[in-house]
Parts: sequence; C-alpha cells; structure tokens
Amino acid sequence: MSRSSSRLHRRWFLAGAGGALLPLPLLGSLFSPGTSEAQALREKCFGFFYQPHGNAYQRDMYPSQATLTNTMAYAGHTIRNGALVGNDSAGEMRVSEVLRAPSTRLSQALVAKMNVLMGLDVPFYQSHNTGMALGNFGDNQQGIKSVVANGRRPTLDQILAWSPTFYSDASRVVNRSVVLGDQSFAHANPKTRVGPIEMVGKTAQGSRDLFDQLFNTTTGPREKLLIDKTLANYTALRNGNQRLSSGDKRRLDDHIESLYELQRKLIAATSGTPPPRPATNSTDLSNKTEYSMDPALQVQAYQLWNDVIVAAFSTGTSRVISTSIWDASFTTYPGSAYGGSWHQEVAHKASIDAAAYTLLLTSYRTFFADVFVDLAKKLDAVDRGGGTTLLDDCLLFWTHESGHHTHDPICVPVVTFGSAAGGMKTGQFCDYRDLTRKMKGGDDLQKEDYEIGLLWHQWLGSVFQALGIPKSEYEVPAENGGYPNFHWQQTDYYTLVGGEKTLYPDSVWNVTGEMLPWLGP
Amino acid sequence: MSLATRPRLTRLLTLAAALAVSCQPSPSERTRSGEAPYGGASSVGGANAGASVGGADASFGGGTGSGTASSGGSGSGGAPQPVVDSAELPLRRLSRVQMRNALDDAFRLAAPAQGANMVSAYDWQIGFYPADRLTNASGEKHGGYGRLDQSVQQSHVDALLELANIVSTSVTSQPAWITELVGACATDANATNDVTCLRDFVSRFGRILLRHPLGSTEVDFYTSVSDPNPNTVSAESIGKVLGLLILAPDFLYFVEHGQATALGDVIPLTAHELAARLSFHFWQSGPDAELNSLADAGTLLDDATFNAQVARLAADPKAESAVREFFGEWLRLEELENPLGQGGAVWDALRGTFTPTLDTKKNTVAEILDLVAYLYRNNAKLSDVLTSRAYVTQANDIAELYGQPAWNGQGTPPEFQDPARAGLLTRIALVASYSANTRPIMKGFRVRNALLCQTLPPPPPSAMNATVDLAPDLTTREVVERLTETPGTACLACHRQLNPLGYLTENFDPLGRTRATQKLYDSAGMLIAEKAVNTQAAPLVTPNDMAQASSAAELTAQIVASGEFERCFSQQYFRYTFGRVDKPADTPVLEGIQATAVAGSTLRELLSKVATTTNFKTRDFR
Repeated sequence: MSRSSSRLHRRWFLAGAGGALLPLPLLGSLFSPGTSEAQALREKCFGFFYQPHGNAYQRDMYPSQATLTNTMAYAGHTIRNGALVGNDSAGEMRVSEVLRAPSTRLSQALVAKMNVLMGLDVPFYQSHNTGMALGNFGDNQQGIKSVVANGRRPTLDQILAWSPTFYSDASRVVNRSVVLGDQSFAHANPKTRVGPIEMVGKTAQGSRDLFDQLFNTTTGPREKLLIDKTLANYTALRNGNQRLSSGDKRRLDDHIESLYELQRKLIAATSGTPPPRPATNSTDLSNKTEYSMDPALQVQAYQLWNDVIVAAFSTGTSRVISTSIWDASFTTYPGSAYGGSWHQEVAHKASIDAAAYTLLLTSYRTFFADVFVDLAKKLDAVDRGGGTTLLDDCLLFWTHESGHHTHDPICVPVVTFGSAAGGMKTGQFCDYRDLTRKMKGGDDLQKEDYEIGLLWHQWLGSVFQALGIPKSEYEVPAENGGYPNFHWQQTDYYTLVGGEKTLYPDSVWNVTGEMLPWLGP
Repeated sequence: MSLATRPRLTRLLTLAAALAVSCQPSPSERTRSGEAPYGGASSVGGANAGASVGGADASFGGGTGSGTASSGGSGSGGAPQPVVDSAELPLRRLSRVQMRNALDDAFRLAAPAQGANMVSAYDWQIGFYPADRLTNASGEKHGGYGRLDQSVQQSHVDALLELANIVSTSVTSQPAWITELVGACATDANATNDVTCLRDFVSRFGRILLRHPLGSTEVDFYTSVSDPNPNTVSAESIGKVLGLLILAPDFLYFVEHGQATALGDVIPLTAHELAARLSFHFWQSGPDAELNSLADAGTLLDDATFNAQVARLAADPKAESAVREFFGEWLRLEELENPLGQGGAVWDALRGTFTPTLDTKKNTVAEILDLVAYLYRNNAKLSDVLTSRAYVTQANDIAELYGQPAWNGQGTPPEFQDPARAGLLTRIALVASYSANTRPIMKGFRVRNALLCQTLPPPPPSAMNATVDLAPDLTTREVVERLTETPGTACLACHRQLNPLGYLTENFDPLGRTRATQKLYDSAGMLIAEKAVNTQAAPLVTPNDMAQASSAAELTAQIVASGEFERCFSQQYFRYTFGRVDKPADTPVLEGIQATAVAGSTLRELLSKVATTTNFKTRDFR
C-alpha cells in the first residue's frame, strides 16, 4: 500500500480508542498547497503537552550525542545539531531511551517530522510552577519573590488564541483555545490584554464533553436570544449613571467582551454539519475506581482526547490546545519500597533511586509512545492535499516542568512534531548548550552536570515565528527578544565551575529575538 | 421612598432602551481596526512542596505582608502584575459554592414543596462550572482561599450559559413544578391572566435571585424574552425568563452602588447590598425572607437591627458551612495524601490490620470540619479549635486509628480516651502522612506557616533530592537531624524552625496512631528493631521563646500563650471574608479581630466582629 493510499481522507479520520471510524464533514480547500501564498494561508494548529517534575536523565531523554555532527558558533559559544534518526529494531522505533514507540506507530517518516531540542533554559530557580513552559514565570511555589511579583505573563497558547493573525478568520472557531490542564494564563480581558492575569480554567471535563462543546448541536435561537439580552443587561449596567468604580467598569467591560465572544461562538457552533458524537467519554474510563492504577485505561482515555483534538484541528473549530498530565500517570505506582507519594518518593528520588527512576521513565515513555505519537500519527493520517497532512500544519510541543534535575529549569527538554505549515524545519536533534560552561549537579545515580545553553524566551519566540505571528503581537524588544518580556536572571543561585556568576551573557540575551538556529524555514 | 427601596432609575432607563438591542460589535472591535486524564492533578507540590530539606540564612517572619524569600539577580523585571489585588475588590463575584447555594435556595424558597426536586434535576450541571482555585497571597503557601479567585474567564461565561440553559429547562420540565414555582395561573386554562402571571413570577423570583426588588422596567426587560404570543405562559417562556435571570450581572456579581446620596469615596452600602453581604458572609447564600424584608423596609441600616441580624445569622446552623469552608481551606486539608493505593512491603507491615477505604481521606478531613462546626455550634472560643479534645469522628476507619469507638453523633461527643491526644495538633489530619514514614519537616511547616502565619524562604534547589528515607537503625527524627541539622551547614537556619515543631508529634506513627517507639523495618517489611521516639524540642513559637517542650500539649500551650494563633486567624479570616489580601491600611481591623480573639471571644463573636467593621458596611469606590 502506498503512503498516500494509506491515509484517511480528512472526512474519515476519527478512528481511535473509541473504535469505529467517525465521518467528518469535508471542508473546502482554501488554498493550493505548494505556493508561498498557500503556506501563508494554511491554517496552523498548536498543541502543548506538559508533564510535571522533569528529572529525566539527559542520557535517556535525548538521542546519542554522536548524532550531533554539525556545529555552529552562535551567541558566543558552539552549538551542535544533527539529523534525527530512529533506530528501527524488533518492531520498535527508538530515537532515545524515552523517545521510542512501536514502529507501526512511529515510522521513520514520522521521526522526520519530529524535533528534539536540548539546552534551553529559564535563567532562575522556578521550583514547581504553572505556566512557565508557556511563558508565565510568575506562578511558582517557592520561587524567587521578584519573579513571582513581576514575572506573570499570559501564556503563549492564550496569545495565540486571541491573535488576530492566528485566527484571522474566526468564523468557524468555536473555542479559541482548548485548555485541559493548569498551564494556561490570560488577562481578564484576553483580547485587549487588560486586567489581572488569571489562570484559564479547563474547557471540558471529558473528551466527549469537549466534543459537545466544539460540535454542539443543541445551540439554538434560545441561547442566542439569551446572550443578546444578557449583553444588553450588562451594557445597561456598565453605561448607567449609578455609582461604579473604575475597577467595576473594567470588570464589566471584560464580561461584556466575553459575552461577545460567546455570541460569536454560538454562531460558529451552528455552522457546518457536526461529526457523529463519540460513543465513549474519557470520564467513562477515568471515573473507574481502578483508573489511577491502570496505565492501559489511562492510555485509552488520553487517546479518546486525541480523537477529539484531531476533530477540532481538522475542522478548525479550535486550533490551540494546552494540556497537562497527572504526574503519576502511566505507571502502577506505588511500587517503591516504602510507599508514599509520587511527588516525594518518585519524582524527588529519581536521581538517587533506581526504582523511582524506572517509574518516572515509564511515565515519560508511555506518554510519548501511546499518547504523543498516537496524536501525531492520527494528525498525519488527515490529508490536507498536495502531499501534506494535518500534522504538517501543526506544531505539537511536549515538555517537562524541569530539566534533568527536578525543580531546576536548566536544559528543559523540548520534543515537537509538525512543521507549522513549513514554519519550522523538522527531523533534527539540536543541542544549544555551551559545553564549556558547567555547574556541578551530580547526584548519586544520575551524575549529570548542568550546562548553560540558550534561553527559553528564544524558544517561545521561535514558536511564535513558526506559527507566523508578527513580533508586534508578542515581543517587547526594549526588554528582550522572544517571549516573554522578562529580562532577568538570578546570580546568586547558580555558580559555574570556576566560580563565574554571570550565567547568560549579553551574547545570549541579544539573540532571543531570533529564530533558534536550524529551525527557521 | 427610602434609600433601600429606591429604584435603579438610571440603569432601568438604559435597560429600557436596551430592550431592542441586538448583536453589535464588541467594544474592542469598535475601538480598534482590526481528575480526569487532563488537568486536575497535574499541579505538583501540594502538601509536600515544602517537605524537601534545604538550607538558607533565614528567620521566620509573621504579620501582614511578611515574606522572607531571598533572591538575587540583575537586570530589570517585567511590568509588575499583582498576584492578588490588595485594594478593594472590583465587582466581586460569587464563589462557585455561593452561586450554587444561592441558586438552590432560590428554588427552595420559591417552591417549598418541589424545590428540592428541581435542584436535583439540574445539580449535575454545576460540576461543569469552573471550580474556584485556592488562591494564596503572593509567596505564601497556606491560607489560600477559593473566594480570592476572582477570575471570570471565558470558560465561566460559557459555563454559566450552559448552566442557565440546563436549570431553566430542568425546572420547567414538569407541570407540577411550574404550578408551584410560577403559580396556578401558569398552567390553568385561563389565558387572560398569563401576562400578569409571568410578571408576578419575575417580580417574585427575581427579587430572590437578584437580591433586590425589581422595578417595572426590569420586569419588562426580563419578560421580554417570553414567547411572541404574550398570552402564553409556556414552559419555554418561563425557561427563557429564568435563563435571563440566571445570566444577569446582579446574580453572578455583588453589584454595589452604595447609598445614592452619600458623598466621598468610601460609601455606605444600601440595605439590599448589606443584606447580600451579610447573607453570603455567614451562609454562603442569598438573603432569606426576614433579611429581605428588613432590606426592603430599609431598617437593616439601623445599627440595632443590623446587629440583631448579625447575631441571628451567626447563630443559624447555616453559618457552619462557611466555618467549615474557611478552616478547611486555611489548613489546606484537601491536600492530605490519600492512603488508598499506598503500597509496598513496609507500608503493609506498618498498617497491620488497618485497611484504608475509598473514604478514609474524606473521613480524615471530615473530622476536622466536624470539629470546627461542633465548636462553632456550641459557641466555643477560637483557642478551643487548638485545645479541644472533643472526639467527633463518626467514621469507623478513623476511629480504628484512634483506638476508640466512633462517636454515634448523639448528644455531646466524648473526649479522647488517649491522653496523648491534646487537641488539633494531634488529630489524624495533622499528624498522619499516610505513607510509610512520618514527615516531621512537613508537620513543622504546617504549624509554622498555616497556624502561626510565619514564613520561611524556599529550600535551595540542591535540597530537592535529599528526601528523608527510612533507615534500619535510625528513627525518622534521627534521619532528619543528620540530614538537616549538621552544625555549620546552611540547612540549620531554617530547619531549626521547622523540625522541632514536627518532632513534638513524633509519638504518632505515619497513620496517626499513638506510639512510644518507632518500628524499624527492612525493605522487605521485616521488623528489625524498635527505638524510642524522642519528642523533646524547642519549638521557637516566637523567635525569642527558647522554651523546651516535650509533647503536643506543651506546644499547644505555648502557641495559645503566644497569641500567634489569634494573630494568624485574624489575617486569614480577613482574607476569607473580603476575598482579598490584607494591606497596611487594614491593620486596625486585623488588630481589632486579634484583640477580640485574645480576649477569649467565641468563634461566633469573632465572625460577627468582622461583619460589624466599617470595611464590611462600606465600599471604597476609588
């Protein structure tokens, strides 16, 4: 069977753990792929996947250093890259100890649509945090006071959600972003970016609940009438002559803006023919008593979510998703000798205790093989015409809370699928570390030092660039390039071997506005 | 016309003009050219986040706005973004609990016979409304409250429409329910009374739900969504009206304008605004008939009437809901480990015949909440929360851990039989880790941070993997001492303020059972030794208090004598009441609450004290 013939047409893609193929409506092609104009018009999608803790050893997380065959002088140090190649053996495609999956799922062609990035840092202690990976540095526990006070920013997914560029035509967009975790933050008025920055609540409790939101068939004139009238009610209060504080008025403005968005969504929700409703809801599985101890059940639930994500991306009802994964997922924990909590007994002990590390590794491996690759493969099965797939138009981004030492955002791993419709080159393993600048970090079992690399700001800026977002929408160049605008680093926590204190020189800060080397089209 | 009943004229005029408003561009468009698999449990740290050992130069601090996190760095930060607005909250919204209660109580009040059934019909949908996030003051770990989460994101607005739809559809699904809710006029054969019928319903139900009397223009507005044929009071019409009421700003928010004739920035609230504040403060729900009546008459603004209502609301059993929520959130009880699913040979050896159930964690939390509710109900003092030895658990699994039969819930609860159970600090929720090891550092952190409101800097990153393991020849205390109290190390400064507070309850095992010795197991769960536990320590309740203690009872006595618990309570309860972090200007209020508590006032008096402050009865419109 040829590659093209093995693909599902986009209207017949929704096949997953739920079982039967689910037909979806054919959407008219807006472009002729292959031209630059077409690239610009192709609707891009962004998916973010996050697992807490980190602590995956570098030797397991990343491909062999021997594959880094190219070097480049950049930002004052030497960086390296090489082609990302999978080793197909005994039915398993292995990119690294963590990044491996059955070769029936992870093909060499799919590996070519991946990137693995190493050596991207947040330049201060973060501990446990929410939203750091998407640019909100200020929401952390035990973090630095000035970072907590000054580092709050809307997260990348929320900037995309309200970007007039990303959603230049929102007529089919039911949910600007699907939030399935606790990593997303936005201003109270995300459109105008006014008001306090708040965590964005979960969009749905279960996969079918999300499906119902995106392809709602119950929305009718009654809802539209109620929203029209409610808008009038709020507007009357806002513009009346009774005493309100300026803060009250701002809150009312924010609410009115949300009502307009809801009004818009109701119209979008009723456009087109909805696909058939999935038979199974992920909560049917996650509500089972044995769920927390049954990795297979967890995988099934996540794959049900994947099906709906593919439906959303394919139909354009939403093109942004942000997720976070329960930290003890995909293992039969407790399995450590002394019992206890995952947090204490597994995540914190993983660098000194082999049994704990095995559990952690299992969690990461399973997520990659059975959830992340599953989603990539399903997206890759949706034909976009001209030899491209839906995955090609996406940028899927998986990361951990910390780097190879938990709590420390030094060398936080980045694994991607998709080229964002040609906005990012793929099939690469890039190592941006400066191997000459080390900090001691060897634990009993792990024995891996820290090496300083490039900044997370540059990675997030690169994501924006790959997705075609103009810098005016996310960058404050007077502060620093990339995202977020937070030119700050900690000088009293990390000390390089040799006693050097200044970790990230101007040469590193000065390039944060550039696309990361080797990723640009 | 009294101030209390003065119609909202200007708004009503605007509403009247808006009756025909249709879809318009949004403001920004007009001004610019242009537990489940996911989520839930992914946040880590929780109750354990401070458990890792570490060291730094440190001293604990207390009081308003204290925070000692050290940092160094260079360069500029971004634009300051407050974690929690410390000024008067703009347009405060109901918490999810308050919204649910207000909605449910409105139907129960309007339809006494069938209201409960109506609530049951839509109750499932409430779960789809975003939960409030326990929100801390910046840099603090304990004392975060759902009421401080004032976010109104798109998901809230979306979910409220869905809720309004489900509620309005559900409660109009049965003719009998419509008859009771709206009146017989809604289901009789007489079409001539339909318009009046619907208007009466809007006036009556809107008064309850929106917490103020509706003028005729408002009634016009809410009935304007009814069926095109004005002579029909259909289920659909009633449903639309209900939906519009639930979506009204006056339902979701505390819409407060203050007394119209008052001048200045800080304005006294109207009687209806005050009634709403009182009711949601004490009951987590909307005003009842008596409060509404006093608000309508305007007499609630009289001090004597107001104080009498404060006393009435505080004494009502409905007040226990807020008391339970406050203490549960203050102590972050939901972050306790779940013993169900723990495993391993040592755990199995340790637990012996005790088998946790699906409800063990819930029962552990419930004991504390039942205790504070019991104390509140019986007009106990704040310090009784610390010192009471009332044995209130009615759950057999928790009773098994206590080694005392569960209370039957009748009459006055007995006291603990075990003399080691000295009060709050020795209850299962405070001493159990529900793992195979005790956590002296975490126990100490909870007391230091939650009960005394004293903060410490975060542990350094290098400490994150230095966990406290069981050892075959050392007690947990001995392991902790070797790991964190080596003279000359940076660890000592913080841990000397944390560990002793935990050592004092090391006479309780990881399941919270009393012990005199610690059983030491090998990794296969074989008992290899027993060593006496040492509970002698200097808890440093205040920085200069070097007094030693050897038991939780002595620690409790030191805390009570210090006044720190009362100071902490005043700060925490202020935040819970007003939904915001205290600021320096609030110090007199905090000190007033603290002084009342130290003087031995009852919990009820303390909660009432907050309600009688100027802050409570006025609003700052700056």
